[in-house]
Amino acid sequence: MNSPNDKMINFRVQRYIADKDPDTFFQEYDVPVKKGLTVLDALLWIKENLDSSLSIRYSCRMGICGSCGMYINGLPRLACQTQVLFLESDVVEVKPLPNYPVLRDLIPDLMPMLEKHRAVKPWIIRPDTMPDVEPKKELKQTPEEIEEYIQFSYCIKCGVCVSACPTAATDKQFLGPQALGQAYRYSADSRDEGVDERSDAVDLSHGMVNCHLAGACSEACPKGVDPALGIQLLKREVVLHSWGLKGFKKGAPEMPPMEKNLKPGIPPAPARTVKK
Amino acid sequence: MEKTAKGNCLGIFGWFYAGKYQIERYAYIFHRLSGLAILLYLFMHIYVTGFRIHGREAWEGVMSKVGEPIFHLGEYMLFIAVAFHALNGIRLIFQELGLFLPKPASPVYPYKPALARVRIFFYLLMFISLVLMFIGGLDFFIFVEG
Amino acid sequence: MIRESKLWSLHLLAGLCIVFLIGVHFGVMHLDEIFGFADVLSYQSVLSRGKTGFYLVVYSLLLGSAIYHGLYGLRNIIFELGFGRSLEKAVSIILLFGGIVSFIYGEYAIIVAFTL
Repeated sequence: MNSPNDKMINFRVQRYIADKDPDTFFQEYDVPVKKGLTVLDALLWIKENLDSSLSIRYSCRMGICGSCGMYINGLPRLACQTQVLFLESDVVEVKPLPNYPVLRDLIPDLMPMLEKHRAVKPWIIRPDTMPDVEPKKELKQTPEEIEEYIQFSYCIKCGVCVSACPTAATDKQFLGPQALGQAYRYSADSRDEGVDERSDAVDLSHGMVNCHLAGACSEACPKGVDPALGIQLLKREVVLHSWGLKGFKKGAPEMPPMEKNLKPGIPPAPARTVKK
Repeated sequence: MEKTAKGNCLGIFGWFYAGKYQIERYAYIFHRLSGLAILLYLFMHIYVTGFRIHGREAWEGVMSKVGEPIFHLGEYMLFIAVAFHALNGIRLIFQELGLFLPKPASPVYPYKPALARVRIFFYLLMFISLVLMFIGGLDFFIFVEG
Repeated sequence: MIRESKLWSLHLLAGLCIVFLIGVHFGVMHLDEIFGFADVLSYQSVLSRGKTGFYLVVYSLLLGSAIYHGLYGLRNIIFELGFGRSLEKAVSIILLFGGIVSFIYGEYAIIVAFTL
């Protein structure tokens, strides 16, 4: 409950309601803030107490679904992960994520990012054992091999990195740090055999060569995915492949049947109780 | 009905305003601006130095025109641009080929991005660049002919 | 069409070459007082440098790498401004043509200076 000791913070929220006004406008709200209140909580408080027409996209409220990306006080962030008092400002300006079309108020259309994500073939490519992208057998992968790509697999597709990227600010065809980072995540996976196929999507004039190492994507990423690192490692892979300095990468082998993989001294499993 | 991306894109402002981002983004801005300035100078330079094959009078004529103080200052500005662009460029060549970058590892909060972890490399090259700019400044303005 | 990654890796290679070649060129032209070269901009000095095999190679390599590196960078900047595909093709051709013409003009001067 709000107490008289709560600090009042002024929220300047960008509104956009297409059928009422083709231009965006700012609306100001005063919100009582106590320690621990996030920007998302504040926006929901506004919606409940001041203006129910304010539209926001959110879901998990805990930084894992990637829905609530917004441009808060000059940086793109997740609203549920940004505490109002940490911003150290009496005015909090909230705008929708830049470099995307806006559907309404603070809701961006993330389809451009998702389409580019699909274009880099974000799945394990392995024609022999996984022709339908579904694995038929377990593939062998050591913990060291997992460490090479697992960082990039934490991407929650929130789109904050694309908002931070200076190239994405002008170039709508640019694949973006999200797609390029995921292209590396799959190319670096030891189970994958599709670097050459993925190169065709990434090695284009609006692809990986348009990343100029501003590093803003990694700074903005809320999950520590570090797409900048992934993109530079991707560049090395693609350049080595395009000059023929690195050959076809054979994917991880299939795990042998359990019976052949038993360590000595371990008894075999009991018979199946449910018929196949 | 949605507002077009054009309205919500940061545009050229997104290129040249780095705000609260880290120093690598500022380096990107200066690298781009210095590159464009050097390119512009390059074509003028190719044209002007071409005069040397037309004889002594042609050469001395064009040199007297570009020998004025304003051009001398402009040349020093170019020296600064080249010193920055070359040293930052060395960093970019290595890092954009994935060299001298930390290995990927599971991120532990608060995560420090790879570029932030190797920032010492950037500072070292910038120090060398400043030393070169200083030495160049001595040669341009302090140690005069004779 | 040449793969973009090949063009880009040549851009980096040209950049690396330029670092060394510009080091030589700047060392002579702009650190002349410190290294003790006399009057680097005089006609006699320019003529004598142009006649050496060393500067024939250095200037030719520097000219080629700098034009390639600069125009590829400019092409990237123009493409990032977001024009249509046909305009991009036109930009590539114009820059390629401009680069070749500039290289021919500069190389002609270098070779003539060598033979003077």
